[in-house]
Amino acid sequence: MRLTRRQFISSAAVAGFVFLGGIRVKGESKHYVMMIDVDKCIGCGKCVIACKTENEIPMDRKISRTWIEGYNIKVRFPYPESEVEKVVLNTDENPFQDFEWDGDKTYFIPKLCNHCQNAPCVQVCPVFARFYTEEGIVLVDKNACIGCKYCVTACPYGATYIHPEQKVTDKCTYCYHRLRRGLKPACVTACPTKARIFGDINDPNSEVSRILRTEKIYLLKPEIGTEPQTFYLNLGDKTFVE
Amino acid sequence: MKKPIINSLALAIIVIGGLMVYVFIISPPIKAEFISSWLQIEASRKPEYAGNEICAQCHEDIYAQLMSQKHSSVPCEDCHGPLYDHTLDPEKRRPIIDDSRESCVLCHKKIPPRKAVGTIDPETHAPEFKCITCHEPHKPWFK
Repeated sequence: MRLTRRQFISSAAVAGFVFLGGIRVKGESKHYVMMIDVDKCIGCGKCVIACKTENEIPMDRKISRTWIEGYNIKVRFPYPESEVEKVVLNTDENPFQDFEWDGDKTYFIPKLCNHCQNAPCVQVCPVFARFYTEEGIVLVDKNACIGCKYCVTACPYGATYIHPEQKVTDKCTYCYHRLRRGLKPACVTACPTKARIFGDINDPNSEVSRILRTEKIYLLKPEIGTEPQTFYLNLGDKTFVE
Repeated sequence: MKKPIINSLALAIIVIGGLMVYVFIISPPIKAEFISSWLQIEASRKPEYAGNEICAQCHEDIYAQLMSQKHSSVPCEDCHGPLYDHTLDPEKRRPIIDDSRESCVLCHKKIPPRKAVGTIDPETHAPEFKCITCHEPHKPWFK
């Protein structure tokens, strides 16, 4: 097969673009973000049940697209020497109810895929199965994914895993199929205390852009430069987040 | 002495070459149409949870009662199960009615990190009664 000069240059440009930045479908339309108010989370686990029901993840397996971490901290001085215990809720059984909360500081932190705008999982994927949509969501093309687990090791938030039945990687999609129907993600729909807030950041009248303008926003691991799109509220003094 | 090195080198070249052939030739190349086809597959999945706004369209009375007090932020489907199918065909999928103590205690047991809701100790707070004896879930304070 012979290439003309024009074809060669354009294909090289496309390949370079793909290698450097991954495929990014840009648009001026919408940009979805989630905000999580840590003080409002009560650790009931309704979001985990909703997510696993919605996305057909086996309920009894200890994997989930979203999960809740409970921290029990006995404070020592200097502060980094405190004793930290972490309990994880990622099935329909709630480990928080019978846990012995004897620490000085206790809190819940719901976690999910941060939909980074500079995502390590997109950069490392050898078959380019991961891509950014125009709404700022990172998706996995499960027809292209070969299950090599590079993204599982690359993700600094531990938000991606191998689906036990489909044998390809799986992660939060912000419930893309629900967004297309005008619904909110399942975890946001199921949260009884409105600890999860979801919306379009490009719309100046939405709740998320109001909060972004007026309140303090915290990110998980901001120092590694992944530009996460899941924002945390009231995380301030909670130093221990793994 | 030399042979094992050559053999292992050949093996490495075969493995890496095979991987390269798979990645760059056999596996589907990246084109916009592949991604849009996956977007269609992803978008065509059926939801399970409907959301409060859809429930309110038919069940106006109970929704107005729910919105009038402290449980106003609690979604219907947290207690009644996922009900998107119920909105399509109300007879086919019936809502769950779970009035056990365990389902209330899931949010209202007193544990230290739980600050945003009112909590009780289920060991001492009327242990022999169901919660719905005194508290109506759609208007919990009081029956």
